Amino acid sequence: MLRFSIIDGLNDNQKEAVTHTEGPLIIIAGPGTGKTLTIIRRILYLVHTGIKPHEIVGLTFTNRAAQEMRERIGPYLGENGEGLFLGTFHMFGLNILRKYYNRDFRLIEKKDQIEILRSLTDGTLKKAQEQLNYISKIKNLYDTSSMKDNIFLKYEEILKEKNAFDIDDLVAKAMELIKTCVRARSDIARLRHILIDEYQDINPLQYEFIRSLYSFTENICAVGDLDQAIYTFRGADIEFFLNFEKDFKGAKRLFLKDNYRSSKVIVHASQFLIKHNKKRIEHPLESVSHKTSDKIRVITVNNEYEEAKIIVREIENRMGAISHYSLSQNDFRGQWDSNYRFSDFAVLFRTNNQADIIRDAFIDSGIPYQLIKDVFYDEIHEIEDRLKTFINKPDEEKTLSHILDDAFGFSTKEELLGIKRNLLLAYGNFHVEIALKKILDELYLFKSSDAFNRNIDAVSLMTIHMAKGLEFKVVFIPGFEEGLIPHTLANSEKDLEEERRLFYVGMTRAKDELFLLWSEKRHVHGTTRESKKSRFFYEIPEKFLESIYISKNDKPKKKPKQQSLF
Amino acid sequence: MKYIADLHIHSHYSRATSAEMTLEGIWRWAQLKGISVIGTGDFTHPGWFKEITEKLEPDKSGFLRLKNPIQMQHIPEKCKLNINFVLTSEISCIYSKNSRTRKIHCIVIAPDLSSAAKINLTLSKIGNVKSDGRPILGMDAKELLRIVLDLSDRALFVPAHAWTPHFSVFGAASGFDSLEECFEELTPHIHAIETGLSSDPPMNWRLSSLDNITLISNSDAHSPIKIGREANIFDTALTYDEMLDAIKTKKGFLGTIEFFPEEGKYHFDGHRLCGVCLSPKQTIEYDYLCPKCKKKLTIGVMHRVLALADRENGLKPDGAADFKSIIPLNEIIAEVLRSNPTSKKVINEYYKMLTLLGNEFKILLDVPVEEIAITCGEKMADAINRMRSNNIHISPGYDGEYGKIRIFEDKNTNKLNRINGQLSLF
Repeated sequence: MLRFSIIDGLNDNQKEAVTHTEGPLIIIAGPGTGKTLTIIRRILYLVHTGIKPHEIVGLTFTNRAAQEMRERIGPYLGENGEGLFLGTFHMFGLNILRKYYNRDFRLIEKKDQIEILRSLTDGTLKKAQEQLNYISKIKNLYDTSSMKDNIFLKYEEILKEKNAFDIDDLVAKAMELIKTCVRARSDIARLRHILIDEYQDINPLQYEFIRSLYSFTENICAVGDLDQAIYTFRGADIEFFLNFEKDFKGAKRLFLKDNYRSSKVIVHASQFLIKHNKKRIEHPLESVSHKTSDKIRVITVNNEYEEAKIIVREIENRMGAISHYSLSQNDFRGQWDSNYRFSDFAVLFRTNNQADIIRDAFIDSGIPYQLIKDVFYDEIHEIEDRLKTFINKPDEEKTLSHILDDAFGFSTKEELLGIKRNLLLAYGNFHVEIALKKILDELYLFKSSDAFNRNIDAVSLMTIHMAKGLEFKVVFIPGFEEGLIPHTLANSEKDLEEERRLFYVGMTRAKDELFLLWSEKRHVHGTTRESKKSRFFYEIPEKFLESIYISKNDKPKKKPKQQSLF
Repeated sequence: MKYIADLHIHSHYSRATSAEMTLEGIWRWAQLKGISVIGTGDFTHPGWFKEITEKLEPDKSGFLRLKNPIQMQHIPEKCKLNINFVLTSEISCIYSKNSRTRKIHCIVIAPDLSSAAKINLTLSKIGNVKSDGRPILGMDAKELLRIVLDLSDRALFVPAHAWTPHFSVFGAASGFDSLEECFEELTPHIHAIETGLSSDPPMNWRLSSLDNITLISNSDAHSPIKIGREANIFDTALTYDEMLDAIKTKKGFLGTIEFFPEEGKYHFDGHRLCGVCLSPKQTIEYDYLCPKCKKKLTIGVMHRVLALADRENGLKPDGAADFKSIIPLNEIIAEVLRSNPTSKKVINEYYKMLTLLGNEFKILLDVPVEEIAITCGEKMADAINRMRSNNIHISPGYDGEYGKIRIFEDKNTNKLNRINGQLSLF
């Protein structure tokens, strides 16, 4: 009965991936192939075959992914699921350290690391930042020879004196502890199944960590898609994915090849694109969608302001009029039946520099949006710190109004002042101590709402990197130009392949419609630059594309035929 | 005491509004119109809320007063009135439910600044409240209702212009067929709906499901002259709580002052850009497609009422409040003077009448015609008399186009016939 329901609704590839439990396994899961579903069912299947939840570890790349899996798996496992670990490498390392590292260590934040490195270098922020990146790189690349560098040794010494770990230590020190601490070893020895999500994005340190777990169990299951590896700039190394079968003897390779997310056009076009990469594992991917699909629209605009306006207009066209004002300004005749919500749309850009102009167009339109990583995260963080000092050192003389004035004092931003005014009015009648606690909760939510929130129904504005793992009915990718896609910084063939993968990730976020916009002129560092359409345009067969030219008088019209540059 | 209230207007922070919609401007115009309780509008907008907290102060009635009533422009002595502000805002919920895009405008009335501030904090986390005095939130209207209820039990949530096609709870384009479909188990918390310009109480009486709902009317004004084009008449003590109680229980709610619904922008069906206006019956004959462009027609308010009605025309449910239909005074003057409603000539006459006779509602509803005749001439008296006895001509509005009112005979319009007019077209 239960067994039936565990593999119920899975396709044959997924079933095999769920039920092949013994020995090393790599599951190549293209975009939209039901990767998370497969991982969840696999865990349920393992538990069903008698594996205890605490004998399973699932390692994810982001907290968001872990959170989603926990939410989806929780109802099935109930209380039995308590021992199951699903989380990031960092979280897993931290758990081991908290359990078996003798002394009460503390975790230091980035600003403390900078302070330490300032004291070790010439005292400038710039230098300290450089050294911070350098040290982080040494740790993540598991570069044992550079660990003898003077600066590295000094930094490590100070951390030791302070009995502190930095974020990168969580994995490295946990790994050491497994080697040196008998109790930690015997605890880890319980593990019978290791799952690693997004295996294409692991770095050498994480690889070493997995190797050390492999000595306890051979049941290593790596899941991922090489074509979606987009973090080599952070030290991830795709060779681990390519070499999985060499590294783990007797490994089996499985493919998930049915794409349930995107239209046929989007799946085919993105496959044609990614085949231009040399470093990849060829694998089949088919759209199972029966919907008739629109071609990918490539829109040429004059400048980035126009680009933003077109995006807003296309969203309005799909939502129908969003206000009486737009109703009076536009022709919505006959547009009655739509079934969209704002969260069906995403604008995915290559760099955060592109965000401002696009955000402004959304502000002007009144369309709700969420810009992932909002500007005043840091300010709210500081305000929180100041408020916390009041809680720790209460001052009877001070009213809530005084305290808020002090805490917000440095800020002149209208948004923040608005928040302050509202807080004061909302909690002015409370006892100061209680009011402060409530205010801290409010502020905490303001901060966490900066991260992508599935529960907010708004258009998502974010970088392509941030969009990994997400999907939207309609996706807009602005800046489809040389210099942005691929980015100017991509100099080598290796970099170019990563840029192509990144664009592939962007394309494959779209379910129904994909818009690629490029601007003939763009302002870069204060000067206007003529741009060229992205080279990736020419890597997608013309039959999947529809070119649209927006002329200066803002009337969209189709260009008869896009002339080829070749 | 008897007083008039307009609970839905917009500030200059809303899209396409007049720059004169400042607190002082609203304060002055409420006096010219004869409105004792006026909504602030737009309290969710940070800029407007700042002005509200700086320029208004709460008094013990629960209403707010203008702190420094500096009189920039003249207010005739006979119009002077104490103006009570009440915190109101309109929120546009755009979301998808049961496989359709829904767009519902809702009025939120807050009992005090602290409640309004709490609502603002919550909404600013969910969406963008800075762009527009009437913010658009990608949020289920029911969830908005839940938020308002959670934050204050003395706040009121009212579906706005409940019948208009594009942005309302019963609207043809993106609304629902019942309050329950929209608000589910929270429906009992809906005590009132705003009937909007294109419908009047008799149209709403045709739905027995609305018998327990108070039908309120407001102007949704975007410019000062339009304040009070629809409004509510109360007879309670002048406090927030008593007014709220009257809306919830209908006790002390005397009724509404109404636009002639035919004059509303969405009374009939049609296409504004095609110049096609159709009655519900004609629309059905054309199979809901525009005879000109062949695209789907914009379905108006009368059509929706008929589609959802479960009662014949002409029945007044027990406990239903009365209403009076009016034409804005400047429009009447314009017709009498054969001029444009916003022309200098009309505005001068408007102020002259206010100076001689008192505020606009007094002139439209109360001043005896004999007195109007003596002060403003026989034709004006005749015009107002015809309005009061519904003896006028209207070609109905459709798809965003206002209906055309003629008080005096005109070949091009049909005489309004309330007994067997459009209401029986089905």
